[in-house]
Amino acid sequence: MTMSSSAADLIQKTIVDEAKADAKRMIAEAEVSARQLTEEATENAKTNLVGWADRRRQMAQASGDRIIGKARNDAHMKILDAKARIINDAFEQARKRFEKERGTAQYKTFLKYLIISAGIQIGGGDIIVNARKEDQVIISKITGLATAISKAAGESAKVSLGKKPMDMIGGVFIQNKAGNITVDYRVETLLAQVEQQQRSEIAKTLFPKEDKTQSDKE
Amino acid sequence: MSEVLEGVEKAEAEAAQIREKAQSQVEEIQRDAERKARGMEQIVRAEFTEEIEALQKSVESKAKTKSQRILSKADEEAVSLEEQGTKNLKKTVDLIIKGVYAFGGEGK
Repeated sequence: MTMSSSAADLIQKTIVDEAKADAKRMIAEAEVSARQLTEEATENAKTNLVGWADRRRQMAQASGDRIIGKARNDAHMKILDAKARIINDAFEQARKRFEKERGTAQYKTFLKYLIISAGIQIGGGDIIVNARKEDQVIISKITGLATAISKAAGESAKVSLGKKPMDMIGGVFIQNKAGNITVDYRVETLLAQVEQQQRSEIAKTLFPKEDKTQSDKE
Repeated sequence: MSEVLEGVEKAEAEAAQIREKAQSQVEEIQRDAERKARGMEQIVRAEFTEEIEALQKSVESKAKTKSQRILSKADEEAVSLEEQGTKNLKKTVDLIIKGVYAFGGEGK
């Protein structure tokens, strides 16, 4: 039995071709499998890191909120500082005005009524009036203080000046003889009370447009 | 006949070599894929980091622009307050003085 050389060549070629086809298939399958493995790994990594990434994104957003929050706070402080500066200026001017008014008749009347008011609050008795040296002179010339206090308090009253003058802008610091009851009517104290009690009205007078803007905003 | 067998044996040897080489390539592909898979978390983390850093940069840039607007507006408002305050200062001082004098009013 003989076989032609072409038939032998065909067998050999078939064997090699099959091997080549197998090789190609093996590699293609390996590549598909490799792609799947990479894709799965990518998905797993994303799943594992999604929480971490979300937290980082939130932190990034929060950093913007922090910047804006700080700016809002700084802006608020700028406006508050500007207002406080102007209000302080107004009170400083008022203090200076008082210093100029200390010789006027209105100031004299003011002292008189402060003393009477304080004397009534103390309830009469021995009333000691502490004041500036210059105001002591004014007060010593005011008449009818004890009578007015006695009448309103229903208790006899005696008004006398404190032995030592007090360092103050103006007004009076009143006490009973024992010194356990005091009424502070010094101008600086009254200015502070005006600031506390009339803050809103003062602000509205100083900044009427701002008040309107606030109303518009509301 | 022996020549034919010899040819077949040679072809089978060549086929075996081809398969062996292919198997070697397959293993190399597998190793490469496994290596990539192991490093994938780092790659994904780097991608996320890049995206988040860009986001943060953009957010901060927008926030800074908005901050500047807020502060500029506050500056304008402060100037307006100063102007109003200066204009209404005398009226306010009068109000304060009146308030202080009012403390002496109770004795009237």
